[in-house]
Amino acid sequence: MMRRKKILIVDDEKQFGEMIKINLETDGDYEVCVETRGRLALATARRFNPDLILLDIIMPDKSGYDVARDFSLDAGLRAKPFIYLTALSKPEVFLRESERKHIAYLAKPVSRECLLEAIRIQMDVKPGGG
Amino acid sequence: MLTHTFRTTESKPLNILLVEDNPVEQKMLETIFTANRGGSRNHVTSAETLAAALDQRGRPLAFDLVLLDLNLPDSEGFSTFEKMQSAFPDTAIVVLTGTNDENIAMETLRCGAQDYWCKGSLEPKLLVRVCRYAVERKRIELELKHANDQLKRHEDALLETLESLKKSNEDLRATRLQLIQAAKLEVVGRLAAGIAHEVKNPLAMIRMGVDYFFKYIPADEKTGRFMLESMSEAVGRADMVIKEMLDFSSQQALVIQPESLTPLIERALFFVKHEFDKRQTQFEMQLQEGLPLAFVDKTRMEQVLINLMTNALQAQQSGGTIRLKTCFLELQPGVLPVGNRRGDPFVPGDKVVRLDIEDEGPGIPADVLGKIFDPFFTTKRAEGGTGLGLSVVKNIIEMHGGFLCIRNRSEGGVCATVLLKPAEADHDAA
Repeated sequence: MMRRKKILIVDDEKQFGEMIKINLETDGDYEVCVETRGRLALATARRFNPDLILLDIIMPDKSGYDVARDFSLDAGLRAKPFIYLTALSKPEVFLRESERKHIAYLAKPVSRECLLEAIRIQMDVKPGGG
Repeated sequence: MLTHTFRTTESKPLNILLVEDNPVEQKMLETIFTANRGGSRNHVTSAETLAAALDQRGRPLAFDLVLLDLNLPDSEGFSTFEKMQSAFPDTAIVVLTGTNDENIAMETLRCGAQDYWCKGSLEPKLLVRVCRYAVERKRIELELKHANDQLKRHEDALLETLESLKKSNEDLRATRLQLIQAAKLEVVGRLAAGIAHEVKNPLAMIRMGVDYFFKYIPADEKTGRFMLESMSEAVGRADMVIKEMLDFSSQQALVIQPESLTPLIERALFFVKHEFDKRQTQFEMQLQEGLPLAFVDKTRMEQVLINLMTNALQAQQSGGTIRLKTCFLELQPGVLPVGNRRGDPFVPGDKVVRLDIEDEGPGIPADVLGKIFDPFFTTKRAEGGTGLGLSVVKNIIEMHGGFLCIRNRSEGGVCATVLLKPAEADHDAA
């Protein structure tokens, strides 16, 4: 049997993270870990070794952009696909990095259907290209 | 204004032009005026004919006085006076008459002669005084005229200054309004961005929860599904309100390019199609063939179309038909309220791309019509209207240098008209 894909959620809103976790685990057959502190995201990611990361942008202790930069400097995490899931309607990073296909962006409030679809698409994206 | 004191000519010798063909009278008058009285000796130049008198015009020393007999060998009556007056406009004229032509003398007085003198009643002292007064009156008359001219010039200058002050004032007021508007926008923008973040997170949670229950609620559980659908719709509406606030306060620069309106209309229609179906409203398009491209920002213009179509739909309640027309035309005076005010982007004669969206709703009440563009003004507060839709539309159109007007149609319903600059200036207008 194939290993369940692992998803790391980094979002300071604990309940929101948990709700996504429930939705993804009950329906999408994913194994989900929630990290609410941006500054611990790197350590958690190294330990959990996710296949995909859902990343909030505005967090009190460390911004999603900074977390993403940490990931991009880490040999094991650099190529992991991730999705910014944010309340910002036009995050600048999306405009700046939209050509990098392993980075996607979803605006809150996102529907479950839309989230699952985005995860499916991003999982298939080959690291570093298209 | 007559601020300077009058110079009196009382003691100054006068330079007199005597026009008299009768040698006896000429001699007598010369004698009267050149008689040496207390040191002031007048100078008299005599002329026997009108022609000779007129020849005196170019003399370097101007005459103070013309003593004029109207009946000369080469000129008769009133016309003699007329010719002399136009030749010597700045010189006092005293007319010499016989006893029989007093009427003509009176006429010359009305037309600007200073005085007249009946030759029958020659009284030297009196005549000299009459002439002195005549000269003085003429001088004062000229000074008055000069002062009047100056006053008129000052008045003109003042009026001109007033006009330019009014204009500056108007400009200032407009600038001030713009500044206030910009400041408001900035505040709203910051507020909106803050609210957006704070509200979108809880909305995202509600959405996740609702979607979760949707998945597990049985299809025949009607009440539960109704509850969830309503909640889902409410989340969508709240999200829309935030989006409109962000749009309204967005100060991002436009990306204006020549675009064809037809695909924009089709894309906008795609977004509102669902609403048309839901309200069973027909949509009719009358697009002019060969419509030239217009200078627009694609995304913003799409938003304008969506907002205007949504307004038309909501005005209509349900059923009926909404018509969208486009055409290219030369603006005729009086057809649209454009070109009446300073700052209007178009004037009659300009070629424009015109887009009309007409509904068959009840129209806009007169007391509401003046406020429809005011930010936050809405008649649909209960249904979640923010009152920003038309403000956004107007802002966008104005940023395009276009024109928007919304008016009640005589057939009923409302027509929203957008005028845009064509990208092809030499395109032939209908």
